Amino acid sequence: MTLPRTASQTVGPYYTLGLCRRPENELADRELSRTRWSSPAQLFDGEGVPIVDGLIEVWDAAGRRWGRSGTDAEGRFSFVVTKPGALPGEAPRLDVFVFARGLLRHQLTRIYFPDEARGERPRPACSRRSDEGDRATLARRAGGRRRSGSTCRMQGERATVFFEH
Amino acid sequence: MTWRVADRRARRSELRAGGSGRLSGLPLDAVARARRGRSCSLPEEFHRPRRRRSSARTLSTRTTRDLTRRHSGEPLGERIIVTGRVLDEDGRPLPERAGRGLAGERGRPLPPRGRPAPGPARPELLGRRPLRSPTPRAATASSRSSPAPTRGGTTQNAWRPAHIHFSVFGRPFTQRLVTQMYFPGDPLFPYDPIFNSRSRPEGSRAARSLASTSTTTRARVGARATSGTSCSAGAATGTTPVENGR
Repeated sequence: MTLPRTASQTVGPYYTLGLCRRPENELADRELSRTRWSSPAQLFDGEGVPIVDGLIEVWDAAGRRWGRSGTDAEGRFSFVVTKPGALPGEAPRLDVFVFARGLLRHQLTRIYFPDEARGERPRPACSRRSDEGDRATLARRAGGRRRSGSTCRMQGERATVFFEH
Repeated sequence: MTWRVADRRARRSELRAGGSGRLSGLPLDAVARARRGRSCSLPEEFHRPRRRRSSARTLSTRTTRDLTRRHSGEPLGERIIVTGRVLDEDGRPLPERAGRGLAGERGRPLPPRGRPAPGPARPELLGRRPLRSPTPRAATASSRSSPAPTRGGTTQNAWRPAHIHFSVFGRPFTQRLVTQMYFPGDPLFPYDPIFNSRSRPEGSRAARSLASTSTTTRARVGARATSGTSCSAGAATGTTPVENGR
């Protein structure tokens, strides 16, 4: 017996309001401040307009840590993390879910760390757009020199790579 | 002496993970916190609500799952009980380890950020509550939602059919189902692009509620329906409105 799957449907614009009432975007212990990283980023739709009510969730598979952040009025979101351990044969990374209004199914991408030699390249078998340029959003060390954060684009020529899941 | 054990364990695991053992230089309470933090962190709605075993247990359990309470304002609308089951593709209930979260949008709780919209704001129905129990059946009390205004898509200034959002956690992080439950007979179904979306897998269906008189409380009448999934979870829900609220 194989039951039909319940349809995946959009989170609508309300999940950010309903689920982001207290900060859950800090995955790092305050005591280990030297190893804290921040990953400021901005979420854009296909027309380059910031998505102001998106919801981002990250999962550190090696450390079993979970975090959530909504996007603000300019589409920005951020996480503070300790760099996760690497799974065998892979660069340290965070798995990222992107939920947004109009997305019938959430998207899965990754955050790599800039000091890990650009991280691993996504394997073509699990990447929809393996031949496109930018691979994943990059993190930067907390407290570092201020510069423009990374971007996550849902569509278009410079769209972020999303994985099948 | 418990803290000494915790300290040694934390330091050993730090060294095993390739660290410098710097945890040993931290205050002991920081070590304990770091060690606890290392285990796992999950969303609030994943966790089982803490209950006190007392004469008030039944009441507190109801309150925890009751989205019509714990707010300063009185929610609008008919009170309903929503029950459902989370099944795998073979119809087996997913055991307790699978987290089940409920994120609530009842009608239109608040205007979307930066976009004032018509309709009554109902912040007292916004919230998230855990749906988790040893038995595969979970229940929550809610208030029947009202149609919600929407913008974008194929139609401007459209109103969406009444719905309740569910967010269901599976075992691994990538198993996740976000879906919406609808109420039968809604006249807005033919016009709603999300309800009629074609991108969902063939054979899948939106969760719709069915009335049932077997799930009742004194002031509320509930209902039950099921639908399964093939990947991680299925959400199932049901409702019957009642007239008098609590």
